[in-house]
Amino acid sequence: MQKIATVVTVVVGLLVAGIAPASANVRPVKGDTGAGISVSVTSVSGGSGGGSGGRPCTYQRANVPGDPSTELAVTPDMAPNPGTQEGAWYFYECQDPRAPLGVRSGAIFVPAGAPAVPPAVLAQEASRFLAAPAPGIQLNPPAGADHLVNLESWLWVDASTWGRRSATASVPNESASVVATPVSVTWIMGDGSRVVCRGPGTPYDPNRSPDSQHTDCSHTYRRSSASQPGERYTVSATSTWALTWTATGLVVASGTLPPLLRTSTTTLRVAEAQTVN
Amino acid sequence: MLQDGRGRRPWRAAPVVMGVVLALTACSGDRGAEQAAVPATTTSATTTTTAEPATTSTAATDAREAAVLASYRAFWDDMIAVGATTNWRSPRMDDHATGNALAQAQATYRLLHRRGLVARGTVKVRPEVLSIRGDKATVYDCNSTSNFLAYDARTGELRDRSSGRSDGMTVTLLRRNGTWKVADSTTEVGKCRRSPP
Repeated sequence: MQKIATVVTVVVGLLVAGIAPASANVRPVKGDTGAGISVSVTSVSGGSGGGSGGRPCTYQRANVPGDPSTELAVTPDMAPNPGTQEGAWYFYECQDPRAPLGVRSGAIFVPAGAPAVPPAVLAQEASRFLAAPAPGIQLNPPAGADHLVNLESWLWVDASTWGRRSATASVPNESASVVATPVSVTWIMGDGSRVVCRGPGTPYDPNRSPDSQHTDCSHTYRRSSASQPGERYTVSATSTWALTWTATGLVVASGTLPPLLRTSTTTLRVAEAQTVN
Repeated sequence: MLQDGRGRRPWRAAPVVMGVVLALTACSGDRGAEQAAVPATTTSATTTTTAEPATTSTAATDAREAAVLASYRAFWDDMIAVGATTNWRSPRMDDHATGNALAQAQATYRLLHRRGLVARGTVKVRPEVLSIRGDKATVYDCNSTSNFLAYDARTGELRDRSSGRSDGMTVTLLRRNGTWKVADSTTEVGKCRRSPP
């Protein structure tokens, strides 16, 4: 018997028939609903950290005539709307280290002319894999050195924890890419002050003269940390990542998701200037 | 992992064979890694039932519940029998399965088959009926598939480890052509609301 290999690596858009704009139909995603959705973490810019944890899937059309290896018994209870939808069943196998045998397998119904999974749900699934890191806190004076009252402390975050990340979730005939863009860092300085920086901040270069350098992201302490626990201020930095998504395939759509917040903390000592030689 | 079994779309399906599948590889949190020495010929289910008598039930209710539970046990008997060959095209597959559970079971055994694996061993079940409404029934089972393991079909080599774990599973059955069939499930891995069987 002739066997027809029909393993379909999902390259979304290949099977596009009649691209039509659509409004996003956002439905809440509960639990582990990602079965059968392929996810790749696709890009990192401006840093070395980032992309990991994708879940590539392969799909194979079921019940291909003449190929018993694709046989799938279908009952009306299996279809979303029994008897009312044209479409095809696919076996899927998704790589997932948490799953038995490292593979999560199942069957997915792909209706004709409509995505198997709504674009907004794909986008939400993709966002789960975004490797948006917590900010790497950098300060001047540097870690271990005292900050001084009335002297500007520079604040910035590691370049590796800044820069766009994206992830793409796919099912046959539809794909949604989510881009996470860091937009700001909110610093809670521990003395009651809050500093919002519209960017990663400027690294201080100890090899250049202080007068030749400038930053828009800084804080000047007015009181020492002597009265604080451990005589140190606790400083937190929260980066805000804006999420936008675009879907292509049978449905073209776009939208936004709630921003991601990532927080790091550290402590620092602020000394009175006159106590330092 | 809590599977949402209420969704009707296949991609939201909560696999009822998840218990089988989960038993096929070691997962984090496994207690011990004992190799289950299950004879290759053992393919029957051990159905250890300790259902407490429902004192308020009528005889009719008892009969309906008994039918549901019998089908649920038969489902596992089917899965264990088919596991011996992992022939997902076996006509036995849909004797007591339908819907998402059937799709998932077929996909799972097809995957094992393609990898040259069979599943052997025992499944301990202890189901109780939560509700029966018309053609829909809900069963809770604190079951153990930790001795239902994957073997190399050719060499018989054990390719698996026992999880030593019991899972809490809420199972939906639908009555189709007079037969109750497992249609969907929600699995709480490693969690049982009762003591393990």
